[in-house]
Amino acid sequence: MTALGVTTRPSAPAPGEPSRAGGGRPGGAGPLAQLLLGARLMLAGGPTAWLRVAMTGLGVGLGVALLLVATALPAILDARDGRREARSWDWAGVSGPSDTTMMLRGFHAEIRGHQVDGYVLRPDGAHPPLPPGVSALPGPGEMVVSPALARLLGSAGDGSEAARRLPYERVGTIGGEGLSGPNELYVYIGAPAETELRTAEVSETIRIVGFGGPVNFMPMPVELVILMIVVVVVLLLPIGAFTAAAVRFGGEARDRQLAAVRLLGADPAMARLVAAGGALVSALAGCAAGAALFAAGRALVGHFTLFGASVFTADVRPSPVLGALVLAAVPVSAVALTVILLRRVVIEPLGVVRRAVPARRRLWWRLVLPVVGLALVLPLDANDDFGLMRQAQLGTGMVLTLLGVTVLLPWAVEAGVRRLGAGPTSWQLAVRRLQLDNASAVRAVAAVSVAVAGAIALQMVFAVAEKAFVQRAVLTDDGLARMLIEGSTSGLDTSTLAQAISAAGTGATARVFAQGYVSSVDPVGGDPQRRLGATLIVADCATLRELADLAACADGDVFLTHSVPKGAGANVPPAAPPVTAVVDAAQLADPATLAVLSSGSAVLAGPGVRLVVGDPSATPGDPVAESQWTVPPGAAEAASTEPMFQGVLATPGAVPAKVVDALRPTAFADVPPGAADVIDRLRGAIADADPLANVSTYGEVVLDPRFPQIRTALYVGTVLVLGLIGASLLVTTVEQLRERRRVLAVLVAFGTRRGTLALWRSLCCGRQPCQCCSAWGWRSGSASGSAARCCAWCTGHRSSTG
Amino acid sequence: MPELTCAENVALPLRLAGIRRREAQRRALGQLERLGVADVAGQRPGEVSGGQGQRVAVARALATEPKAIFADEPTGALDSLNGEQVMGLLTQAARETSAAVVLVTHDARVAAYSDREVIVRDGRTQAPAG
Repeated sequence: MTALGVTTRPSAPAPGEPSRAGGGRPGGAGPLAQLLLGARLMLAGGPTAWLRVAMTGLGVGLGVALLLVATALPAILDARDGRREARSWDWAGVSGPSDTTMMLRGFHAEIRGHQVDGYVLRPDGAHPPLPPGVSALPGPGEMVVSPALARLLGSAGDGSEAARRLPYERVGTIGGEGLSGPNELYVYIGAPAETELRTAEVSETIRIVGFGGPVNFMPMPVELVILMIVVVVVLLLPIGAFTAAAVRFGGEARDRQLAAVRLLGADPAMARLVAAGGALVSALAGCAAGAALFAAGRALVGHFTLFGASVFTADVRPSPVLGALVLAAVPVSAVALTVILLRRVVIEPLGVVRRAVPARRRLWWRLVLPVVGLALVLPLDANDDFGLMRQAQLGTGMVLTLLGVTVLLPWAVEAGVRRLGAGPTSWQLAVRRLQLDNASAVRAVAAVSVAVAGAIALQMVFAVAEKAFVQRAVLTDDGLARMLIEGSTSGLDTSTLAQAISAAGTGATARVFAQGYVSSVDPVGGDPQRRLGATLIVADCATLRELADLAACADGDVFLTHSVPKGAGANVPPAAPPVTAVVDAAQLADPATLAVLSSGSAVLAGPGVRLVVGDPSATPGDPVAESQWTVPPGAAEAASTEPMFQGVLATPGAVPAKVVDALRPTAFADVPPGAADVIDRLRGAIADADPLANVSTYGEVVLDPRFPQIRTALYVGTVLVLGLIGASLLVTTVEQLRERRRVLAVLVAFGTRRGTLALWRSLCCGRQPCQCCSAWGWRSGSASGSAARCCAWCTGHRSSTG
Repeated sequence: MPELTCAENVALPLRLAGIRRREAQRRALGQLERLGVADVAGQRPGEVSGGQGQRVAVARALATEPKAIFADEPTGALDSLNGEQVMGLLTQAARETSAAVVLVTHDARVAAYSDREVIVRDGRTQAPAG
């Protein structure tokens, strides 16, 4: 017995007879009217229906919001890169210090886990260039900081440590146009008088004429291209899968509605359009919710920093074309999806009542997608030239393989569930439910499995790429972390640095020496632009023995060290070609040496070569250019223990004091591993002695600067997608629980304790006591007694709770 | 259709048959009035009594003036008074529009309204009567 159990079959008018329905067209009202009816049915029905629309809207909206973020990505990256480029140095045509030039050195510090970057600068004259976002250059001992760094300096927790490490007077704030993101920790420090800024000596020291020089990027390596494709595919697919799952929320209610519509005289095509109307409402609600979520997120984005990346609100501008495409594609595909999927479903007037076990899913066509996908991906070789065709092949292959997971999964779930047997009541209910109708469960699981399968693929590609782009180097055999400390001034002698390191009480052992970049006074092969460069290290024999394999050492000795990379083979970075030649004074003048130098091989300055601290060809006029020294004839060759100790190693007795004074104290410290605090304390102790010392921890050496960018993008994207997955699963679960009310009503009817069903009271008995009991399928005569008990319970519960 | 009001429910088959909204509404209200439930036109089926609901269902069945009406236990959820009222209205309306009513019931009193009776027992028809 149905509540409104009268079935009608409208008759077609006889030939010549006017329609009895009065002017009606056979076949029904226009498609638009049916779409509108579907929309009306979706929205009508009070709070329950609105809740369903809200749930679907939220589910779709999460996906739409993330897709809108994806469309805004190009603008975000462009703006970031533009501002980064605007503050990069411009040293074109610098010949020497002038009124408009400035010395600049990169500043990088890690303060209690906060990465602070910036420049140490010293103008050569009265009209130096201004970096973007800075209105006045800081004087000696002053600094200009970004707003986020100002907050850090003023904060209670890490503020004191930050102030210890940046003991300069704050004279200004960097404007937004000079920062890559609102929460970037950035600083411009006016070099104190004692700090020495010399070109080519410590990394990133240069004389510039302005900011905003061109940044030349090499063509992107194949591995990075593959990585980007994988990242994009893996992050976008789950969004699509979850959005598709959300569009089909409330499937049971929809089936019931469609059966009723069929009962009232709609043909299957009309019923499909009615269903499409409902999907359209959901999708539009989703677009609205997505746009609202996006707008809210956009307004708040400036407050968040993910993996060191922060974004200005103004930069988040969805591309108009892509944004419109997303907002148009979601409703259109929702309607198309509904119509296509319902084509395979027979909507009968009594379709809900006579629900049969669905036909078994077939396997063969489900295998096509993953097999084709794998067939596309597997033959690819990273050593090949990765042109547009290969990129497309990889992307398509990955999409097909991942989509294959989603089509294969329903079959797998069905095959698995079919074999499940009896168990406790809850288990039995769950298993029976999955056996009869696992569509919605499968959809949710499919989306998760796409994400997981994608994540696994990503991990594999990432692991390979990391091997190629990041050298986890310079860890000692017993796992100590290593730090390189380069003093900022030659005034600080090596013993002061050694004292600072031991005073920190961290248990770090350091090899302290004087180090500097030296170049040949005489040009190579007669070309005035080419000079031989090398690292000159001056230390006592005990220290030198740790830097190179020396057979014998006495004060006054000089060694020319070759680089012998550790674990030579797969992990050798291309940047460190094997040492080939030691060039003496005679060979230096030979034009043939020029060819050797151009071939990329390392060339060592040998006996008789006159060396000078610094690089006179790059910046004539540096004060140290006068500190000259000639490599003695007795210099022995040796193998260095680390690539960075390749060069000229000398004992103090072999080098004039003037040259040693021009070198800078440098320490290579082994730090007990695993304690960030130890490293922090050491950094602090060094900063007390020399705040501008360049301290770098050798955790990893990155060989392409874009790799960390992609890695950050991946981390951020993964966090967002995982958030989407979590939120979508929550919404899906709530929606599924809502649909399970029928089962709960049955359980009530059979006497399940109320406490067990507390969650359902409001849903079941909120308004109409018997509505749920009578409407939820109590249509066979044998069950009417149970329905009556359900009603009685509801009614009794309602009256007892008022 | 629990999502729609009673009037909209009655108008729905007319709308599906391609009749304009106003005309469908007018006819729906006429049907409801004829069956004595015009006062619940703006309410949802869940908000009216069983007898009223079933009368709305009859009005919806008659709305397109069909030649044949198939009714499955039309009085099953009603008490005997309401059941008789609904049957009276259904037969009266069917006679007015010259529609045939094919009705399935377990209730002998409901069956008595019919001009011709077919008894189905264990899937087999038994001696036709009337």
